[in-house]
Amino acid sequence: MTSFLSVGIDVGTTSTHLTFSRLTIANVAPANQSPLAKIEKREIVFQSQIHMTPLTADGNIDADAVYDLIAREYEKAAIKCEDIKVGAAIITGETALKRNAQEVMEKLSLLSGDLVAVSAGAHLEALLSSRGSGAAEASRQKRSTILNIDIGGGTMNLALHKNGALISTHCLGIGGRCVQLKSTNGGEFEVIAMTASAKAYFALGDCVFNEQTEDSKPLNVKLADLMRLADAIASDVVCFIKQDPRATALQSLPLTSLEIDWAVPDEIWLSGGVAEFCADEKMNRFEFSDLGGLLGDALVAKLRSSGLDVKIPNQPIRATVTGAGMFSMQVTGSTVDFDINCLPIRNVPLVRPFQTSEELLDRELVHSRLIAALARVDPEMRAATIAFELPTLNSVNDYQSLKKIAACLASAASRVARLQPFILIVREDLGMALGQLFRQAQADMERFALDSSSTASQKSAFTGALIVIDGIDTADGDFIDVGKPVSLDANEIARTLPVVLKTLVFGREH
Amino acid sequence: MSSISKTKQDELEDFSSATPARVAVGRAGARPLTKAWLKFRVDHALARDAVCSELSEEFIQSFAAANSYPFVQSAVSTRDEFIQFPPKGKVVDKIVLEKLKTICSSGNDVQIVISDGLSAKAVEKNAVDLLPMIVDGLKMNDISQGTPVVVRFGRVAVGDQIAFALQARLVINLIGERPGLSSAEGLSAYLTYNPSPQTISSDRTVVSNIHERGTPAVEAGAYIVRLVKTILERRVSGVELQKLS
Repeated sequence: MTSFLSVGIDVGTTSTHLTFSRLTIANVAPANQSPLAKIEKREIVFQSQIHMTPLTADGNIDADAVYDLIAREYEKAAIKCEDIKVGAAIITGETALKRNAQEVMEKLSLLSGDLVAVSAGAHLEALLSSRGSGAAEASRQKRSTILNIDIGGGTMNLALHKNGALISTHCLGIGGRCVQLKSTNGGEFEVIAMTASAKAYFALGDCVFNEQTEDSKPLNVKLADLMRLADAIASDVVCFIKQDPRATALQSLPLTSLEIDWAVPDEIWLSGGVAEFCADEKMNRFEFSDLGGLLGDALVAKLRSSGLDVKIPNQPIRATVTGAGMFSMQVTGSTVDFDINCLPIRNVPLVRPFQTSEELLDRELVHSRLIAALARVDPEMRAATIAFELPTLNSVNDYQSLKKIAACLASAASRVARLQPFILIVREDLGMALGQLFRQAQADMERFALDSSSTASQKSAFTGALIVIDGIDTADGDFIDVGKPVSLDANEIARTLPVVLKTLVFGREH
Repeated sequence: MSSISKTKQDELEDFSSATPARVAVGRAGARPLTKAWLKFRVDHALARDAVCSELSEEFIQSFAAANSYPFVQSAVSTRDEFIQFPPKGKVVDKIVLEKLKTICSSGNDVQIVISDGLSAKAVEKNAVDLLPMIVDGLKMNDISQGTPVVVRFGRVAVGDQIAFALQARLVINLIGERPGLSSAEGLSAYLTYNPSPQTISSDRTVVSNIHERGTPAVEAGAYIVRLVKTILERRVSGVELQKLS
């Protein structure tokens, strides 16, 4: 049994905060069986204050201020960054689209330990918040369909779970901070800033704002106008949930979906900063001088009046950060193969070049598929390496077939020698076997090259480092981080690798 | 069944797919459904067949003879005797041991023994994929190994005697497990450091449940190689190995 500290850092449109958790990994296989690593316990050890995300005058994130803020929280918790083994620091929602998101994350990575994913992406963010809020677990325990909506300042992340399993995620580009306000004396509000999404609603005419305001002339609105706006957004969200085609406005909103399946949920859980208003009726609706409070109220009212069951978890604002700290990490199977010196590895693109296991038995095809995948993912040859996920090997898990597959892969690896280490991800519990056979094929190739010295230049064996892992759920991850091994027993017979999957690294949107 | 709603049935299928145990099989009055009862009878029959199964001539030819692995028999002469008198399956005659000494190399790090145990089917099904993984892996790690020996009517301890006679530091006995009602083809690997007639059960490290729905044979092979390395380094196996820290 091994336990270590994990950090979750969330830099959102409105708020920035962190959580430290302790994760315990244990061997859960029955006695005398091949070991099986599992994260057995997750406990929160420290929660920071919720800070407003510091911005610069030009609307970017103030990277230095964010860094200082996080550093101070480490001090308060009396935790050093060397103590942190895994976790995720994520820039969420709209903030991720800011020009200097990359810079902020690079700064934060200085504060994080071994293996902290420094970005997430909308899909993972939705998943992390639904796990952090407890919606995913509730869906598993109650065997029901639960939709978690994490409403931040800039976006709403939706994750739909059925019997615990994630079946769909969506990200709507609107949140509590779509309108920023200032109270005026006459009981009206002056609109200081407005996002494109909010403007889209005005354009629909449902709301009575007169746009076309000149920059010099402030736009003043009444409380009733704001409530109508919040209602319009909430109605669309309800339409979306019920898959009602009348959710017209949503068509003009930035929406990214990872849709596997959809089902009308039994319960809706609301998390995120906006849900804080739903949890506390006494909270000032204009605490953050934006639409957050009204939007929260409108959502609860519309969802309930349309017959949907609404639940608010404890500390809704912390759902994402809790998820990031506690659920971003997975552990591999404990019979895997790796060269310890090349760990940890970060931000390695993940590709799936093969459709069926039969393709792996064809040496030339394996090579050409690897080359094609490389050209697609990394046309400029910038990535140090790439991880190849193999298709299911159930029909080829006999010794002879697997040996042939290992030989084909080793041969291809020797021809793309720049990939260091060579990384393979196997779905079934076959990582250690494939690793052994791969190394054997390497040794054979080396011997062959020595024996036939006349053609030695033709085939130089791949002798670089290797990582073969199994037992992880890669879902639709695009990038993978792999940490240093964790031993499950004193003799280090069973070792598992912590892994973080993510769906986005900065720089793709722009 | 029609009285059960669609969702309930989904849930039941979820539960029953999570375990090979006989859950949510339905009932007719106080008795199981005929379908479930027949399934139980079939599995029970398979288990009994496995216990009574013997290594086939074909397997002995293609596996043992073709690879020149010596094929020996314990002190038992029939399968019935093997089932009825367990201690007899743990020993081989002196003459057999003397013969093995002349045809096998001695003084190796590892001696592999393959025994039918309580399921010859398990051996036939898994040894072909498991053995070469171990042999390859030991070779790659420069761990010396003797010629594998195949035993008919062998129990776990039979390996101790053979390895002791061949002066091996460690014995691996790949042996058919006592069949259960969910698998009749499970194989176990017993690893024992410094095997001798004095060896007791707590001296053994075991990897069990090597079969199609358990640990795949090839993966178990690679894992066993890692165990062998550790045991040879630490010079101890079984409970004592677990106690080390």
